[in-house]
Amino acid sequence: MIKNRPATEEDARKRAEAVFAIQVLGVLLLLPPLLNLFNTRTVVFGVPLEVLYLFLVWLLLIACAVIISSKMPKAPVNTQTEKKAASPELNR
Amino acid sequence: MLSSDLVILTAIAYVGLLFILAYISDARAKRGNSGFLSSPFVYTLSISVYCTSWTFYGAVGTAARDGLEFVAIYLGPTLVFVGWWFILRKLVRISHSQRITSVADLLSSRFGKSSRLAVLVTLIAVVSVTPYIALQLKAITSSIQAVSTATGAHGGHLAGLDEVQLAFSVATVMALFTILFGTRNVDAREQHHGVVAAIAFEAVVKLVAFIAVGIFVVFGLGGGFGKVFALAQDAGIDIHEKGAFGSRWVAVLVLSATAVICLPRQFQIAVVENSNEEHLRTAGWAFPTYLFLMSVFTVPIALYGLATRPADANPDMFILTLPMSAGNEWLALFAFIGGFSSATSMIIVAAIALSIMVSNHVIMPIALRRSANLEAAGDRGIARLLLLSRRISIATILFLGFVYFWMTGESDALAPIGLISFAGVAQFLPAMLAALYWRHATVHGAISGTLVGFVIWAWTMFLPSFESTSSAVRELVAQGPWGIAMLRPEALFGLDNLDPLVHSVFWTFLLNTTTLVCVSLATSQSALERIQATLFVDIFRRHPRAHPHILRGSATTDELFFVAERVLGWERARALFESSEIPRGEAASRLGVSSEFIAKLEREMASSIGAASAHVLLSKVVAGDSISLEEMMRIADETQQVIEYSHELEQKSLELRSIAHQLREANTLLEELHRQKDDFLSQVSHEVRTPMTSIRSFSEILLSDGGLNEAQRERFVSIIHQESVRLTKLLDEILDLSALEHGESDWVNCSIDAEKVLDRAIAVCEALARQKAVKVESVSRARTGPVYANADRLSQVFINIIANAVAHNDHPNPRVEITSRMTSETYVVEVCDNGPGIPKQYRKNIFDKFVRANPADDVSGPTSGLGLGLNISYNIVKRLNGKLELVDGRLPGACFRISLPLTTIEVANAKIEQPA
Repeated sequence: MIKNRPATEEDARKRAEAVFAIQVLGVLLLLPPLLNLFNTRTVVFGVPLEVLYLFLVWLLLIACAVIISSKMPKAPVNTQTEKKAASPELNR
Repeated sequence: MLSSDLVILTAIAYVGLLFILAYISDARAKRGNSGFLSSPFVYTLSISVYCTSWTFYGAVGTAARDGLEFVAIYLGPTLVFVGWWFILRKLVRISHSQRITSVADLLSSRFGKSSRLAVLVTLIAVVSVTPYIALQLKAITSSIQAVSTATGAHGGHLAGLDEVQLAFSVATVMALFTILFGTRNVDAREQHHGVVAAIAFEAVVKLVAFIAVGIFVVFGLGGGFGKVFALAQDAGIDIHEKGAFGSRWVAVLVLSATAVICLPRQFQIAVVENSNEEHLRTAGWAFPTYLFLMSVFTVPIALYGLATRPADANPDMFILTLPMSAGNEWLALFAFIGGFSSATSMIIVAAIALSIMVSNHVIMPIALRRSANLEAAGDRGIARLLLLSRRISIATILFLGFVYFWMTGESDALAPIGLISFAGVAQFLPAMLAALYWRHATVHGAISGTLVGFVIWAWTMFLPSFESTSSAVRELVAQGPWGIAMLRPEALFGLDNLDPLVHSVFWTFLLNTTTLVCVSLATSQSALERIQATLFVDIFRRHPRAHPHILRGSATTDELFFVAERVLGWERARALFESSEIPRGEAASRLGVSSEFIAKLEREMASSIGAASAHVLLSKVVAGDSISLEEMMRIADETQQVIEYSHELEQKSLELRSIAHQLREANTLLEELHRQKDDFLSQVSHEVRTPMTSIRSFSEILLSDGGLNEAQRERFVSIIHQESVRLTKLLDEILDLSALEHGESDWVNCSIDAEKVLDRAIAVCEALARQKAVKVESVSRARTGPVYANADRLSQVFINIIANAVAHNDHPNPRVEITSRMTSETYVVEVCDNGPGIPKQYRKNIFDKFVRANPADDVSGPTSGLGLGLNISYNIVKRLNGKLELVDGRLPGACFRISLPLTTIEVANAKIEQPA
C-alpha cells in the first residue's frame, strides 16, 4: 500500500477489500481444520504448540488491526455534530 | 489472615472511590472540560466491561477444566474489533445519525419504529441478562468468602453477614451508584461521563490485578512459563488440549463475537456512549490487546493451581487462593478488588442499558397510551416520568438479579449462565445483520425470527439450566414433554449427538434466520420501514440531503413546544427552538412549522425516549402524518399545474412575439400607405391645379378683356371646355379608383363572352389608332371567351390597355398586336406594341398610382394619361379574379397580358361561396 497519498476511490476500495481479506483469513486461522494442524501434542519452548499458535495468531491479528487503523480513510467530519439549520422555513 | 471485616471494608472503600471518581468526572464533563475522559483510550477501556467476573475468575476455572475454550471467548470479540471497519463502524454511524439509545431502539427504528419489536427485544434482554447479573453477585459473595475464610479466619462483626445478605447489600449499593450516575439526565446521547470514567478505572484495576497475580504466580512461584508447564506435566496433568478443536469451539467463538455487539451493555458502551466514530480506530487494536493481556496468564495460573492446590479446590478461585496460600495476602486482596471491579462494572452498565430499554420501550408507551392529555403530566412531565421509570427499572432489575441469585444460591445453576446469556442475546444477531445489510427485511420477519429464536433458546438452553434445581425440569430434559422424545430440550428433533451448547446454537440460529428470511419474503414493508431501511443500509452511500421519513402536517409551534418541553425540559426545548429560529408565543401560535424542524425535534426526542415513542408522541400532535396517497397526488398535481402554467406562458410569449411581428409588418405597411397617400394627394393637387389654372386665366381674360375677336374668344372657350373635360375625367378616375379600392362594387358580374368585349374595345380604339396612324391588328384570336365578369368594366380595361399601346407608340411604323387564347382554366389576352416599352426602373411599380412610364410626355396634352389608368385596370382585373401582368412579348415594346378564369370554374366557385 502507498503511504501518505490522498486516497483515491480505487485505493479506498482496495483497502476495504484488504481488510475484508484479513478478516476472512483471521477467522479461517482460528477455525478447526487449520487450528487442529497445530493441535499435535507438541511442546515448543516448554509451551504446548496449540497455546503458542493461538496467541501468535492473536498477536498477528492485533498487528493487522494497527495497520488497518492507520490506513483506513477518516470519517467525514460532519457526522458527529449536526450543523444547525441555516434558516427555518415556515410552511405558510 | 485477612478478616472479613477488612475485605468488606476494602470493598466499601473501593466503591466510595468509584463514587468520588464518577462525581468528579461528571462535574468536569458538565463544565465542558471532559479532556482525557473523551479520549479513545477511555472509550477502549470502558468497552472492556466485556470482561466480567465470569471471565476474571471463570476463565481460570474454564482453563483448568476445559482447556483453551476460554480463549475463544476472547477471540470472538477480537475478530469483531479487528474488523471494526465493517459492522461496528456502520452501527456507530447509524446510531449517531438516528440517535439510537439501545439495541432494542436500533432494531425498532430500522423496522419502521415498531413498538412490538422493541418490547420483544427488551423482554429477551431482561430474561437473558438478569441471571448474568445474579452470576456477578454470586462471584462477589463467593470471592469475599474465598479471600476471608480460606484460611479459616472468622471474626469481626461484619462476618455475621451470610451470603444472601452480602449479595443484597452489593445489589443495593450498585443500584444506588447506577441511579446516581446513570440517571442524571434522560438524554442517552449526553453520555454518562461519570459512569464511563468509573468503568474505565475499573478496567485498569482488573487488568493490573490480573497481570499482577499472573506475574506473581508464573515468575514468582513457578519460575517462568516453561517451568509452569513442566511442573504441571510432572504433577500428571495433561497440559495439552483434550481432543481436537471441534464444533463447541466454533460455537463459542461465534457466540462471543455476537455477544460483543448484541449484549445490551456492550451496545451501550461501544455504540451509544461512543462520542466519536474515530475512537473505533483506536479501539480496533487496543481492545484486542487488552483481551490478549487479560488472558496471557490464564493457562499458567490454572495449571499451577491444578498442580499445587488440593484436588477439591475450586479452580474458579485460584486467582485468589494462589497468592493467599503463598502468604501474599495483600496481593490476594488486590485480586479480590480486581474481581470486584469486573463484577460491579458489569452490573452498573447492564443495569443502565436495561433500564433505558425498559423505560423507553415498555413503560413509556404504556404511559403515553394511558395519559391521553399531556397537561396532566405537568412541566417536564415526560422527562420526570422517564427518570423515575429508569430509576425504578434499575432497582427492579438488580432486585430481580438478587432474587435469581437467592433462588438458585445453593446450586451450581449459575455457573454456565455466561454462555447461556450470550446465546440468548445472540438471537438479536440475525435481525441486526438484516437491519444493517438487507434492505428488504420486514418487521414481521424480524419479530417472528427473533421470537422463534428466543423460544427455541429458552427451551433448549435456558430451561435445562434449572436441571440441577428442579426435578421436574430434570424429568423434562430426560424424557421430553409428555414423553415426546422428539421435543427433548437437549435433543430437539432427535439431534442428540451434539454438545448441548452447540445443539442450542445450531437450532436457534437456523430457525431464527430461516423464519426471518421466509417471513420477510412473504410480507411487505410499510412506507416508513422502507425509508428507514434505506437510511440504515445505505448509511455510507446516502445522499447528504436525503432525510428520514418526516411527519408532515399542521402542528403549530405552541403545540410542538408543549410536547418538546415535556420530554426535553424547558431549557433544552427553548434552546432547540431558538437555534432553529422558530418563533413562539401569541403572535406565532398560528404559524406552521417546517417538516425539517419536526424531523429534527423527533430525532432529538428519540434520543431521550426512543424512536418508536418519539414517533408516537409527535404523531399525536402533528395533525395528519400525511405522507398519504392524497398528498402525493396533490403534490404531483401542483407540479403538473406548474408545468402547464409555464407551458401556457411559453405559448403566450410565442403568440406575443408573432403579434409583435405582425404589428411591425402592419406598421411598415401603414407607413408605406401613408407615403402613398401623401404622394397621391400631391399628385392629385398637381394634376388638378394645372387645368384649373388655365381655366381660371382664360376665363379672367374673357371677363376683363372686351377687345377680343370672335375667333379668339371661341378658342379660349374651347380651351376652357377642354380643360374642364380633363378635370372631370381626372375626378371621375379618382372616384372610380376610390370606389375600386374600397371594394364598393356597384357592378354586377354575369357570364359574358370576352371576345365580343375585346372586339368592341378594338373598335373603340380604331379612331385613335387611325389618328395616330397606328396599325392595330388581331394576330390570333380565340373563338369565344366565356368569362364571368362585367362587360363595361372589362371593356374599360381593354380600352385602357389598347389606348395606352396606341398612344405611347412613337415607332416610325407603329404597330399593336392583339392576341387571345384559351387555356384549360383561363382566357388570356395579350396586347403588344413595338413602341419604346416600359423602362426597367418602372417595371415593378407600373401598376401603381400616378406612375407614368414616360415622364417626358406632355402633361398638358389631351392624350397624356394621369397615371391612374393602369392602376384602375389592375384593380378591376384583380376584382374579376384575374391577373394583369407586364410580360415579354413578341414585339420589342411593352406587352400586357390579361388572364381571366373561365366561366365554368368561376361559376363553380361562386356556387360554393354562396351558401356561406
